[in-house]
Amino acid sequence: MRDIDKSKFVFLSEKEKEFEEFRPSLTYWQDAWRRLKKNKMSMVGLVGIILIILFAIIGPLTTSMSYSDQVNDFKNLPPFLRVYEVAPDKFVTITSDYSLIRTTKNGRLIERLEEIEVSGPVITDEERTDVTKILSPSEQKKRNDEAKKNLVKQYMMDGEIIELNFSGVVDSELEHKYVFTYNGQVTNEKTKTVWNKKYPFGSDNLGRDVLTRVMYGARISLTVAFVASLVNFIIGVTYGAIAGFEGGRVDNVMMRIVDIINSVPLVLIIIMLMVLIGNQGLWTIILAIGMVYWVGMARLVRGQILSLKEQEFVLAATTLGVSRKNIILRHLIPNAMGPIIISMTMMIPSAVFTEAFMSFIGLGVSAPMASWGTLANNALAAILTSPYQLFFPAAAIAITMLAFNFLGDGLRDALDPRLRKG
Amino acid sequence: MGKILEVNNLKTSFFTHLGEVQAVRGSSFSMNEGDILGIVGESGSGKSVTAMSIIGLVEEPGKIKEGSVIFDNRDLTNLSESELSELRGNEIAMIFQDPMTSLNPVFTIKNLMIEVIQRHTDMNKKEALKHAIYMLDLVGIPEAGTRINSYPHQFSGGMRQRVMIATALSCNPKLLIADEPTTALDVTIQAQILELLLRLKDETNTSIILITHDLGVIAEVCTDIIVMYGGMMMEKGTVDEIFYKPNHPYTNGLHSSVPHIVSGKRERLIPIEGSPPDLMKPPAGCPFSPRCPHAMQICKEEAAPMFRLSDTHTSACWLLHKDAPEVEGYIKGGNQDD
Amino acid sequence: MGKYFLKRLAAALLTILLIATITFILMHSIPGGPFTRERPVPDSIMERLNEKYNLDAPLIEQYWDYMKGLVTLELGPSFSIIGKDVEELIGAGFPTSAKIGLFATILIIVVGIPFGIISALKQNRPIDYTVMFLATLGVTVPSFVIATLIIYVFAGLLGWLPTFGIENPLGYIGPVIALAGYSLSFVTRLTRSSMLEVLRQDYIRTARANGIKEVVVMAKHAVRNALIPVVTYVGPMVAGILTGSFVIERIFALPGMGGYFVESITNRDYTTIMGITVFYAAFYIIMILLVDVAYAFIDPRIRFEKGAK
Repeated sequence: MRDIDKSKFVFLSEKEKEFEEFRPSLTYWQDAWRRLKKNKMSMVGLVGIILIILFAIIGPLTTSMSYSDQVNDFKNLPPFLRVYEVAPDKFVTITSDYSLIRTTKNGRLIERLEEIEVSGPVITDEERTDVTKILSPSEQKKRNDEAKKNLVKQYMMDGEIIELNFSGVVDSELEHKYVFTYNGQVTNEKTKTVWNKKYPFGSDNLGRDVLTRVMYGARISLTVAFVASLVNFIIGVTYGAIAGFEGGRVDNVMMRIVDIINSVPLVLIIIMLMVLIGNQGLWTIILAIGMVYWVGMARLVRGQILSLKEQEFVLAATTLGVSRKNIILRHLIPNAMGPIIISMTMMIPSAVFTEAFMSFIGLGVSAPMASWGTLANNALAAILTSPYQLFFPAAAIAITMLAFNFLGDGLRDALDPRLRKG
Repeated sequence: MGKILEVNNLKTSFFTHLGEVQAVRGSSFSMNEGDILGIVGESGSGKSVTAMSIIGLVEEPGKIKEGSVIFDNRDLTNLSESELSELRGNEIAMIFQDPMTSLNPVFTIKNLMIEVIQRHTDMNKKEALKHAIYMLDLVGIPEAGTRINSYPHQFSGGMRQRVMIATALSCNPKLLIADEPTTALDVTIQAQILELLLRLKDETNTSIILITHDLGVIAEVCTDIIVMYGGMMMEKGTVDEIFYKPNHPYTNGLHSSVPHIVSGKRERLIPIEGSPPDLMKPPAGCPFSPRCPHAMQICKEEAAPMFRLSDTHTSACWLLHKDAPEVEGYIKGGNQDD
Repeated sequence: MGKYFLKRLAAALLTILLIATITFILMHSIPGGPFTRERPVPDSIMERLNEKYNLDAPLIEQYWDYMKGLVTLELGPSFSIIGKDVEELIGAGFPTSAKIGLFATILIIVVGIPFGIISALKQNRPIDYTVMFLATLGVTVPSFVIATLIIYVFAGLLGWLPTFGIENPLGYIGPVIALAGYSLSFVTRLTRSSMLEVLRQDYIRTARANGIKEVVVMAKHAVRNALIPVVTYVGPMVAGILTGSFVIERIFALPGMGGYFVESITNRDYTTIMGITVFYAAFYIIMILLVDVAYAFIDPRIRFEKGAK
């Protein structure tokens, strides 16, 4: 046996035995917020949502353009322009339908150049079409060259003719796709790619600014989503709370109704509603969504209430004489808030999606209002020529849904009582 | 009656992202064939983790940090997972606390039992079925032949526990570890299960490690007892020694906090003040010292080694040191290795 | 077991009846509704309509005729496509939609479930993160966005796929992926979380304690249980594919039922809208019924609680 210093065999007082650390205990909500903050993806989502909301509210105030002004001259311009310096300090860009727009070096649009008839050698139809027949190779080439002259357009700029030869688009053997001739100068390489200052997201087929339309679209889409979710919340929570609290026959009947509504794909019901009610503004789609999706919330709330009402704090409250309404409002629902909040957070992107979906099949908000879905729908036809028109509204939808989903996932983890450690 | 199990300085921790939780902090004991060893302690004392460590079922993020577990002349801590799975259910078996959730709900009892039997023996399906029915009979399931086709949810809790025991013993293990097998059951069923375990042990001579927090259960069934607290062993001895000659403040505390039915007497229940230690930051010295009525300076600094009181009786308390002050009820001990 | 099935069948038929009735009532009772609207309907159609629907007859008679028609699968002439009956349109479009839907379903099961299981087994390792990242994208990015992306990148830029139509068998790839995207991702996530939940269960610990080989524990003991919640998702999955087909068929210009449906909506072709809606509803309800029955087979706890005793 080891020898121990005798002085150690001294009894300790109560105070000396104390050395436990006490970690402060947090409330449910503090603990949940702490856990949510730690979840990086959720925080990204939350920040994203805030930015999108700002985008929708403040955005339209910053632009000078309206969502419905049409400028025919500047239709179908992409957000990034390839400008060619055809003469010292004179820049042009080519549109998808081969018009020329004059711009500044930095991408500010000046004007559309007037197109004129091409003056020069003309090839007959016959010769053009039969160009590959029994001619010698050099003869063929000569004919080809001449035929290509039709891939030429001429415009007026500052009183001079500017010619654009775009044979290179069709004939891959040619070195350059676009060749400009102006005032003796031949330009065949782009000077640079600039950002379209007038239309940062490009313009649509009626010359409207896509960015402005996306901003207003945000207002529409988000309004529909938030208000519809609110309607869902009110109807769903009320319905579910009553069903869960009353129990018995009332619950049975109420849930039967829910089951019947649920037995059909909800989107079908929304379609039917929209078809029948017709388009009478924003409220049509808001109500259509709100009147159908509440069933999910109702089921959830009912389940929560059913399990909560067995707990003793309810018994205590009843014994104290708290009215039924107050038990539901002040005791049961606040305790069920966790799953309710999660459900709401996930309902918003659903609503955004549903609204976009409806617009895509032609049942969404009516013109001239445009939601993201309407914008995407309109841009579908031009997907191969002007893909940016579809890209921005689609990206807006996708980003919004992503942000809410990240936040929702994080909330689900944060509010799960099983993971509590505080 | 040879030694069947030897545990040396076992240390098992859970490496969570919040820190290392030291569940078992240096346990050493051995067990002989035919013993019924009871491990008793509060929640968090490390008794379950000790059992899981022996059979190699410590789950992520837990790991056996140090120490060895010698069974059948092999160190189980060095075996691979597949070697361990050969042993489990075969030579070492384990049953668990909650029978309601411990049986796979989508398979019949027949399915579950035959799978285990065929895993460890050469029996064909018919033979395995016969043996399974025999085992169910042995544990007291009525009409075993028909009931074996049932699903777990068609049995009561006590029945399910019997099924678990039947499955665990079906391949004749040398050692059965029972982790709180009766805690989730009614007292009457509890008695039946304990009686069953004793009977089975007599018939098959299986050694048993019984883990529980219930001193009454220990007293009824065990031959030897280990008292654990805060991840460490406090006292070890035969059932007589632990109950009649306890030599550790914690063991004494346990005895005082349990009601004794003695006719005529009226005693106060004396609970042990305080709460168990935080295993993420375990105290440097004896884990029980904050709650010990006889705690000394040395107790705060260093955990006591095991002092020997008899061939079978050891206790880890500084009061047993030759130089410690005399306290009534505590006998001095010798070196553990004497 | 049989009793359970019969009960559910009766409930299903009743629901279909109810929906058909509601549809009928809606169509006929809205002031200015389809049959009373002053929309200029071509005379030839008007004649057939009157003949078919007895529009001057009392409502009850019209209802009875309508119901009879449903049972015999005669759904009336289309409002806007002269000469064609609704059931003809359904017959023409259904095979295409069914094929695409079927491929999508197969894709979901064959890819989603295994990847969900793998993710669960290799939790928090790189493959788990990758799969979960993709799955999260798939669940949040709407199907029409995915569809347009596929068209733009794979058809427009790369030229690997045709831009529309299914004459070219490659043309199936885009629609199937876009249609399956959401449900595939959902099933992956669901399988993963279900598997993780199952792996925490006591009965898995028991199996290991009894010495069952780890592979068998995973494949037999765990997966069976993990799939139970996934089976219950099949219902919503079918709904998703069904409604997703409207948009996908439109984007990819496919001659399927979904496309006809959307067209009929645009043209306010009420008979077609009604007919196809009831068809979709009935189809969906029957699918759910089949799933419920399958579910009873898989989970013995359900089997023995509902009506078999």
